[in-house]
Amino acid sequence: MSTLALLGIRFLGTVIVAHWLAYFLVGALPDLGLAMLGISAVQEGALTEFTAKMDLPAGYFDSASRMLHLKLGQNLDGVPVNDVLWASITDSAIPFAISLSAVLIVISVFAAFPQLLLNPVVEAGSEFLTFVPAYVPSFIVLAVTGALNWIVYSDGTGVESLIIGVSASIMPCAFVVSTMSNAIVGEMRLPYVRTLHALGLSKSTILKNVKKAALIRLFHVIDKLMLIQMTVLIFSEIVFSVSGVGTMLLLAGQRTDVNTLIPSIVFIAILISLTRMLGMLLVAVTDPRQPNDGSVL
Amino acid sequence: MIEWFVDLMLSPDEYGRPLLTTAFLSVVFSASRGILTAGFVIALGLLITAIIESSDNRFSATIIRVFVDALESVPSFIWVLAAISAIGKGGFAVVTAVFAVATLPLVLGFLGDVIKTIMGQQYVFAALSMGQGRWRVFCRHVLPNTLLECWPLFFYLSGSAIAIYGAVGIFGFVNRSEMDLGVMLLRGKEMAAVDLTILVVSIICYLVLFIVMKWIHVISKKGR
Repeated sequence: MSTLALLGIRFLGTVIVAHWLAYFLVGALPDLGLAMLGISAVQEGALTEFTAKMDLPAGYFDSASRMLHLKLGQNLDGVPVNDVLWASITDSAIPFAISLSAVLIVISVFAAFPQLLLNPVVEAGSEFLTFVPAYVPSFIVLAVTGALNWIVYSDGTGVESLIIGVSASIMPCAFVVSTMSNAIVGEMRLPYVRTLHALGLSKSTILKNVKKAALIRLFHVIDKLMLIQMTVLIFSEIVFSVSGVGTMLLLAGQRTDVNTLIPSIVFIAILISLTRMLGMLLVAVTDPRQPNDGSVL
Repeated sequence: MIEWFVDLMLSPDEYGRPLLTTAFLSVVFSASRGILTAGFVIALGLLITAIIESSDNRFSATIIRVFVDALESVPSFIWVLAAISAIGKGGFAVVTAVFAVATLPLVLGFLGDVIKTIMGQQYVFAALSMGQGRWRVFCRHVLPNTLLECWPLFFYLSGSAIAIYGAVGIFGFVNRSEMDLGVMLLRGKEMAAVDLTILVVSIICYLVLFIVMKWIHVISKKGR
C-alpha cells in the first residue's frame, strides 16, 4: 500500500476516534460518569437515563453523518454552528499565528545552527523547555501575555489578536530551536559522522548531512508544535476574553452546547492531525533510512 | 524592602485572608492534587500495561496507537473542559478521571517501551527458564525497575495535572474562594487593572513550584 494511502487511513482513523471520544464524552458520559464517580444525587436517575440513551450508536452515526455533510445544526441561540465556527476562526489569532509561526520556524531552524556555539546554554534551555510544556497553559501564557496585560486591556481594535498571535508563536519557535540544537548535537556524536571525518570529507559536507538528519528529527515532532501553539492560543483567548475559538469553546462549555462543542473538538483534531500527517510525509520523503513499504507509519 | 514585603504578604485579599497563607496553601493544595493525580495515572498505567503484557501485543499496540493519535490531537485541557461542561462539576474526581483518560495512552506507550526493554534483559530470560512464573518475575523484578524509570514521567504528569487544575480554575468552573493556583491566577488577572499583587504572587508561586519540582527531579536523578 502506498505511503499516501496509509497516511490517509491513519488521518481518517484519528479524526473518527477523536469524534467518537468527543461524542461519548459530551453526549453519553454525564449521567453514567456522575453515577460512577459516586455523586449520589443522580445515581438513581442515571441508570434510567442511560438506558433511555441506548440509541447511542444511532445518535453517534447521525452526528458523524452530519459532520461529513458539514450540516452541524444550530447552537443554543439558534445560529448555525457552521457560521459560529467560521466566525470564531476568522476572529481568532489562529490564521495569523500559524502563518507567523511558519515564517518564524524557518528562521528558528537556521537560528539553531549558530546556537551550537552556545551549546551549554542551549542544553540548559532545552532541558527547561522539555520540562516546561507541562506548565504551558497556566504559567507560560500568563508570564508572556500577562506582561502585556495592559495592551490587551487597552482597546478593542484587534491589537489583542496580534499580541496573542505573537506570544503564541514564541513557544513553538523555542521548541524548534531547542529540538534542532539537540538533534544536531545528537547527530554529531553518531558513528557515521566520525566515519565521514575519517574518510576526509570537508566539514561543510559533513554538516550538510548532519543538518538534514536533524531536520528529519524535527519533522517527527512537527505536530507537537501545532499542539503547543493551539494550546497557547486557545488558552490565551479564554484568559483574556478575546473573541475566537477559545472564547467560543468556553461559552459552549459553560452552556453545555453539544452541537458546538463536538465540531470544535473535531476541527482542532483535524488541524493537528493534518500537521502530523505533513510531518510523516516529510519524513517518508526525506529520510533515506526509512523503508519505502510504509512501515514508518 | 523587607518590611514592605512582609506588609504585602500579610495584607488581606478580597476575602480577608492573608495573601501569604493563601498563596502557601494554594501551592500545597495544587501540588498535592497534581502529585496524587500523577500517581493515580501511573498506577493505572502499570496495571493496564501488566494486563497488556500478558495478551496479544500487536493488537493492543495498534489500538493504543490510534487512541494516542486521537487524544494527542486535541489539547488535554479541552477534553477536561468538555467533560466538566457535560457533567457540570469541576471536582477533583471529574478532573482526575478525564485527565487520566487523556494521558493514559502516553503513559501506556512509555511504560510499554520500558517494560519491553526490561523483559528483554538476560536475567529475566534466566528467571523464566528456571521455572519462575511470569507474574512473579513481573512483580518482583520488572515492576521495581520500571518504577525507577517512571520518575521523569511522574514529574511531567504532576506538572500537567497542576496546570490542568489551574486551567479549570481559570475557566471559572470552581469556587472563587478555593485555595488553588489557577483560581489565584484568575483573581489576579481580574484585578490586574487595579492591583497587580495577586497576579505577580501567583506567577511567583508557579515559578517556586517549578523550581522545587525541578530540584526534586535532579535530586532523584542523582540518587539513582
